Parts: sequence; structure tokens; C-alpha cells
Amino acid sequence: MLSCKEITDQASNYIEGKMNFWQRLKFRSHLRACAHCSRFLRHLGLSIFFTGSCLHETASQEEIEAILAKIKASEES
Amino acid sequence: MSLEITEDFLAQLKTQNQDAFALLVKHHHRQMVQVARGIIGEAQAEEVVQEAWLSIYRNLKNFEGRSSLKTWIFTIVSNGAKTRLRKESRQVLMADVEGSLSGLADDLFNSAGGWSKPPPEWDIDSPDQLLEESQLQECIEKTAQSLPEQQRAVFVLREIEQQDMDVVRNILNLSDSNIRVLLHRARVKLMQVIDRYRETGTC
Repeated sequence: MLSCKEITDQASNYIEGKMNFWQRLKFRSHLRACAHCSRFLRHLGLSIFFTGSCLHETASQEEIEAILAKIKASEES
Repeated sequence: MSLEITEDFLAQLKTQNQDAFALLVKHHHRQMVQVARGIIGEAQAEEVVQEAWLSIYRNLKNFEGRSSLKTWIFTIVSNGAKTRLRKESRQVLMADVEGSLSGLADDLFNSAGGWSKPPPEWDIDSPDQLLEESQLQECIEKTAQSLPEQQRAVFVLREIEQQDMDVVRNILNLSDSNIRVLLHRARVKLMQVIDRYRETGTC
């Protein structure tokens, strides 16, 4: 039986489908018996979705203009 | 919101349309800087990305679509950073993957590896509820900025730019197992921000 610590270590591999049949079976049998690890996995899935959505940064107008100006200067030289 | 690359938009880019190019810069520049930092470090990342934009602008007309535009862009940044490293006879940064795989503190578990402090219940049904909380978003942004450079680069490529693991590996020149550890740690660290916020209402 996997320990809870091992479940937390392997949770991304499980989510990404990077486990063989036996690893997946062991992982799932722990989850069936452990409410804390089921919660950990559910929260990790929610967090991945949330953080991926909210962390897309866009450049400021100043940053964009600085890049365009460099390109213009380089094209003219 | 990520940028949708339509055929029309791509055609505009290939003719060096300034508005289309500005939009491309707007949506990818910050992420490119984060990726460059993961390869070459903070000091030269901005400069490498500036050079990459010039190369992208000049070569867009030759883009053949063998990979996605995003992958092509990040590969140009990566090649620029690696060339710079070679010129300076420096090595690609080694991945810091010592310690526990998840990065969780040992005292969260007892000696048998069971939870000693179980994860708190968030009491939400969908991630949309999290998206409504602007203070939480600020906490997440702050923590994401403080992630180690390589963790942040892996996270940006995989979770924000949605690149395949093979692409992430090639761009950052890291092993598959190192990428998995770095990505998992970043995910767990950001999840813990939500844990704390749900428990205390603060970062």
C-alpha cells in the first residue's frame, strides 16, 4: 500500500497519465481508502485549472513599443 | 485570455503587419522572459528575448507551420539563450530537484508517511468560484513570481502555454524526470496558496 506522502509525490504523474497499469491500480486503491488524499488530488486538479487560467500575463504597452522600436531601428540600420 | 492563432492572423504576421505583431508580443513577451530566465538566468533574459523578437519578426515570412507558432517562438528564444551560454562557455543551469518530490514540508506527515496535518477542505465545486476572488489571484501571481526560475519556466510552458512535455524538455534542455519534479513542485506550491487563502483569507 502506498503511503499518503507517496501519493502526494506521485499525484502529477497520475493526473498526466504517466503511470503503468499496476502503478495506477495501487494509486487508485489508496484513494478509495483515504479521504485526505482524495481531497489533495481534487484540490490539485482544481488548482492546476485555476492557476493556468489566471497566470497568463500580457505585456504592457511600454514593453510592446520598446520591442517595436528596436525592430524599427534595426531594420533602418 | 490566450491568443488564438487563426490563418488570417498568421497571414498578417507573415506580411509583417505591425498591429498583428504587437498583439503577438503582447501575449507572449512576459512568458518568453520567464522561459529565458529558466535557461540563462535573470541578468540576460530580457536581452535574449529582445533579440528573439527581432529574429521572429524577420523570419515569420518563412514560418512553415511544422510546429505551432507558439512552439516555434519559444524554440527561437531557447536557441538564443543556449547560443549565448555556449559563447560564454557556460552550462545550462542544473535542475534543483533535491528533497521531497512534492516539495511539501516533512512535518505534514507522520513517520509512516500518513497525514499528520491533512489538507483543509476548500468547500467549492468548480474552479470558477476561485476565479471570482481577485485577492486570491493576486496571492497566486505573487507566489508564481517567487518560484525558482526553472520551476517557473516549466510551469509557464506547460500550464500557461500548454506545450507538450517533449517540447518543454527540448526548450529547457532538462530531463523528463527533472521536468516532472519541477512542474509538480510548482503546482503543489501554488495549491498551498489556495489552501492558506481558504483557511485564513490572506496570502
